[in-house]
Amino acid sequence: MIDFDDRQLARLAADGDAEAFGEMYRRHRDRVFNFAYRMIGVRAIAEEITHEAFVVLIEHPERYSPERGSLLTFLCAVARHHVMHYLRRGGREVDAPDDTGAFVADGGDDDPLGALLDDELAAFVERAISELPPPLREAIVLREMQELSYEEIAVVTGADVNLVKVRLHRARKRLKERLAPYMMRDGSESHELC
Amino acid sequence: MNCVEAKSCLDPRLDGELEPARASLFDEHLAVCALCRSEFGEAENLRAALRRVAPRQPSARLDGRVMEAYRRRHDASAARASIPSWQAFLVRRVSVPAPALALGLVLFALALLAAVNGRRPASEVESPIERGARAEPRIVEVPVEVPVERERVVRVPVIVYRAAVQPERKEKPARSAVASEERRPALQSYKDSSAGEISYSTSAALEGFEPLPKPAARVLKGAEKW
Repeated sequence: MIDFDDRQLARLAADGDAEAFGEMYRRHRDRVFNFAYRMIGVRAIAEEITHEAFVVLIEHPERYSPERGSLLTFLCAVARHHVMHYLRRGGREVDAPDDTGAFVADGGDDDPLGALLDDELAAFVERAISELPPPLREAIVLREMQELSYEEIAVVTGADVNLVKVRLHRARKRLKERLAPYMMRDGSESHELC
Repeated sequence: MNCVEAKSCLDPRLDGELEPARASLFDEHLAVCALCRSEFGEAENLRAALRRVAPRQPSARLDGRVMEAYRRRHDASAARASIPSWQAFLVRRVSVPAPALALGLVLFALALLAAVNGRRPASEVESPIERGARAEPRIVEVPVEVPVERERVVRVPVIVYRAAVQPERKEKPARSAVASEERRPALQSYKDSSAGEISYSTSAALEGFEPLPKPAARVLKGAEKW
């Protein structure tokens, strides 16, 4: 079952194979949840949106078309629809996620001060992401955290590829400005074009 | 490739979306331009910082809810598959609750009855008079007094139609007034002396004729009856 691709798993799951559906769910659960969580910042809402995305796949498996994009793209598109609906209704959008941020451990536990600084930077990065406007936020989250290609981001957001590139550039520029005090510890300087 | 071109290629190169030919030109430029190399390094640092933010884990409750939704859906499918095909067709097609369905059917029946017994146009509505005329004629006998040689009452059959309209009720005059109005002058027989035994019976007063005495009343017999 692990060797099956998403298309095979989706077909088996539509025929009632619970094991195939479970495998498909485990593969994509965290990424769909994290996308919703980075967009909303509220764990309970993000879980509800993730649930709705998978329920759409359960109730209407025919809506997933492998020719149009990957299964993750489909699930993220459904989740994005619910996210935007939530935000349009004036749903709560927190300034920072409701968990304390943390970096992925490097494996070196012998530097407590470095770990503390990393945690502080993680919280700062999360706050900076949450302060971006939703179109820029979804572009940077889908690219940097979900690792989707430009075309896949365009499918998820329903935007043109060039617009995706523009949004990514603007999001990176804002994040770089916001995180400059933390990112230039090594003393590097901005430069003029040669 | 100069710095301006390199700057436009920076994001696509970072994302691995640059064509191989332009990617090699970009790399050659980075090798000779320390400032662009530094900017590319900053972009890589930003990416590293973003990707090092630990992903969150959803709660186990979410797993249970999603798997329960899947089981519920496919249990329902299995139940539908076990019933006969014509019932399955109805179940698939009719997905409204039974009470709502029953209420809908009742409303539909009422609407159908109302349509059948609905109001017709005014031109098609039968008036009470027409309805009365359509009724079976009824023969009744109305006493009509006909003045003949001898005063007597003859019953003449007259056909009248039953009307459904109630006639306007007029104030009935007093019986004595009717009697005085409807009283006809009594017939008087006169003898014409110049023409022999010819006599006239009239209610008018004839001058120059000798009035005859009134005959005594007698019972008509046999052929005398009319």
